[in-house]
Amino acid sequence: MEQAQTTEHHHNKNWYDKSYRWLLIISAAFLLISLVYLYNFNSTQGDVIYKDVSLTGGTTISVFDKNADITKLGDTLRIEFPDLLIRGISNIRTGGQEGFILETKAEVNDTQTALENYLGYSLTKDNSSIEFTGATLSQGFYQQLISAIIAAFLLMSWVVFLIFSHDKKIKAITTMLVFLGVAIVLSQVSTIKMLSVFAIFVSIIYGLIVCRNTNKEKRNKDYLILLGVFIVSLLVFYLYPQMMLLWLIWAALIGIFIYYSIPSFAVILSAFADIVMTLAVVDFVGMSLSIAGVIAFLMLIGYSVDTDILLTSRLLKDKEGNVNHRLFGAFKTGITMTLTAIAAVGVSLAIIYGFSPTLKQIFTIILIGLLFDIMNTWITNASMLKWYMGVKKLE
Amino acid sequence: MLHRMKISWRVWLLIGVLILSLLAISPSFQQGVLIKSVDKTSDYFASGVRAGEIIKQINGENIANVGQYSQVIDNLFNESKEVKIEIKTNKGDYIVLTNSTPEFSVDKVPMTRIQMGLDLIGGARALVQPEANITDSEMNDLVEVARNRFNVYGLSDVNIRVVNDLTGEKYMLVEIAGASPEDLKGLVAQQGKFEGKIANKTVFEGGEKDISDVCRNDAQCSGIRSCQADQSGGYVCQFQFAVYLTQAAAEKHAAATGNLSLDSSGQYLSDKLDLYVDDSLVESLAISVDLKGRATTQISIQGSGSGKTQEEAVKAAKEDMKKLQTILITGSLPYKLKIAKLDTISPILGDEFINLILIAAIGSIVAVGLIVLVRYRKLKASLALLFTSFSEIIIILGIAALVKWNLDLPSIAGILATIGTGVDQQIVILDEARKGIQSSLKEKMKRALFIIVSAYFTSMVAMLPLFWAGAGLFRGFAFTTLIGITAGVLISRPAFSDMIRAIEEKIA
Repeated sequence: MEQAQTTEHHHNKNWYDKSYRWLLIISAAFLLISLVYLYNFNSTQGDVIYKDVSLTGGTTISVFDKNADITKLGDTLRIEFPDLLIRGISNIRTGGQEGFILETKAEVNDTQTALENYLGYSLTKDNSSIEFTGATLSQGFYQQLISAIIAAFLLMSWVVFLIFSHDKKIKAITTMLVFLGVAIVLSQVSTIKMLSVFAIFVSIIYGLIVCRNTNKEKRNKDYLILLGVFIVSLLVFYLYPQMMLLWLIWAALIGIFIYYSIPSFAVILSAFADIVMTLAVVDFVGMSLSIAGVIAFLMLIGYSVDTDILLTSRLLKDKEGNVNHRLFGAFKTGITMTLTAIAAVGVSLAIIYGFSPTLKQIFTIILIGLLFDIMNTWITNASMLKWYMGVKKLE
Repeated sequence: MLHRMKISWRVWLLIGVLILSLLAISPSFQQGVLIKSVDKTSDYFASGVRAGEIIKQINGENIANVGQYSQVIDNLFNESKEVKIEIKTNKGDYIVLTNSTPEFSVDKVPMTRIQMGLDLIGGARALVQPEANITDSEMNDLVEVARNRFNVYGLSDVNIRVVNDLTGEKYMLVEIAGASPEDLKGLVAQQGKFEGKIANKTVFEGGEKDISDVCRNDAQCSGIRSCQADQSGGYVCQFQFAVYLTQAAAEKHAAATGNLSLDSSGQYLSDKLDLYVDDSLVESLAISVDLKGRATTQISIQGSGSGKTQEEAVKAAKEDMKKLQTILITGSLPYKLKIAKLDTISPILGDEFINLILIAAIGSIVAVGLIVLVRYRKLKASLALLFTSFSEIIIILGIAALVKWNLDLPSIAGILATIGTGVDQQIVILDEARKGIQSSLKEKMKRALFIIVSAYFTSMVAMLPLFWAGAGLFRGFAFTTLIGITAGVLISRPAFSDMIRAIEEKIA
């Protein structure tokens, strides 16, 4: 295989070559700070986020009254409902107040009556919207959304590993572990359970086929390992599908990623960092997340990986130029991608800002995530890749 | 010299799919008011008026929208006497002589075939859970009974489905778009066990076993009878309607009244007919003395509704009456239901919301276009890119219209998000094409394709859990995103790479 002749070895290394490891340490520091902050937050608040009434249970009433004095209304009602939150609905086109939204954990009948008494008119479909979520349901929602995010992250890691790793036997083992994890996390959905079992069976068959053509000793060892993982997976699946095992599965997967495909590990770490840092910022500014807000994190998983895949592809698969050239070329492409996403989300956010709290929360979180993605892709991920390629002499 | 740009098959495919999508959306600009449903027992149905027709004129006056319609109807029927009403629709002319206001529901004529979600046109959404653990087939039965109850009430535009969430809990998701009763709670969650008792013995229950017919829509045997002001400054209105018992129930009535004595006035029996709904007493009716011991098949049910103004009281009384009539006809739901979530969404800001979303979409596309132009400084490539993005949105909307997908808030968020990320793959293609190096254009496209397909699978996999998480309330986002990226990878982006190839080759 012809290696691209670089002129780099004959020149002094530029400042990037000298200092990229320091950049990596800086971004690692950011990640560490975010993790510590979140840990602290969890200890004092009991959870990693502030939740709004759609996740704790409660009532949200939107009233389309252009003339209501929001501050006075809030103060009066807070006597009876101390946790009441109230904010205005504004329309960027007319520039005026369209109404207000209030939220409280109290029951819908009590809230509605109190509000009607204050306003002096009945709340009907022609002047208001009322949303109510029961406490049990909303807490159930929250649990499921967390499970969904874990499952999505598992699946995303799996796809990334399949793309960038080479050892087919390990791909089969990883598939079995990932789907075991997905089945544990989403154990109540029978479709997913069936799909997972199917995937596990397909991977063992694939693994056995792929290992056929090596020498006898290696082949038997490979068979043993594959069958071992297969049997353990099925046993766990049927006998002991507990969430606690998820930690073990993650540990095994991370070990496999680091040992067999550092590029995959770098991508996944970068996506993880995006989510963690965005979460820290969201908590720091005191945002109360709704169902939509938690789902925005799910969306972030998909978006943050695109630029990492671009970076890794260009660095590993392209043959022209040296690493720094490829890196800079990938950066130009990737930053354009992120800028267009930021522009589109930013414009949408600005236009619906005072009008739709749901869209506002989704777009804000995605925007913050995209901004962090710039650092996590082009510093964290890029530095790790460059280090890896230097060590493996792939330059 | 004019170069003719050869249009490859991929670009033709894109154009073809675009045209199909536009057809699926079928935008139209008709004036008038759409009839959504007609009560089959009404005079109007008898004259031939049917759901789906568009009212153009009433008594010679042009009707352009729902506001005008309401005004004209109010003016015609403000006294309760018989009126001749001439309705001209897009399908025909109908003349009806009646004294009851049109018993059909109307809405504005939809501009497109896209099904708008509750968040845009208003409506009600309820997540209801039976208080017992029931099987899947029992759940389906419950859905059928609930749907029947809504239809009898007069609501046909109801979406009910069973929802399984990630914890294995089963819910019934009820969505009613557009106009819906003020008190959806009563219709949905009330089990609706109706019992008429005399001296604590059940004489008849709601449902077809005891009730052979209920008078509705006939002013002679059902309606609002009177209204007065009450002490607290509001108003109360009384309603009354006739109920026809089966022979068996009538005989039970005879047996129950046969042994009663008279009360102090001598005109009524000592015990009253107590009406219970879901085990709470809603009304007690005095029984006239000449019904003692008689197997009467017709009885009269009375009740009342109140409000702060007379109009509100009339409305409340009408709704109560309709609810009672409904549960008398359909009987009770098989299980006690608990409302886990109830949203009533006003249509008021819906139109404005649509305006803002359109502005946001156009603004985003323009912002993206500017960035692309600054980066590449090639007008043709930028225009091709914008065209591709725009066509992806049209394709998503077309498919949504085709499968009658409800375009709710999460769906719209998905479309808006696609604008920003949809161009990513075009950018990868553009950059790959620009690299002035040895590989052929074909190889460059192959490399771009690798990146694109990888990103596609990771996005797809991240979206999948949304179909179940949170009772699937946000699956709209996954749907529009998945359609967007699939249509992108299969249709619009290959077409774009062909367009780029044509542009580059012309320059080369």
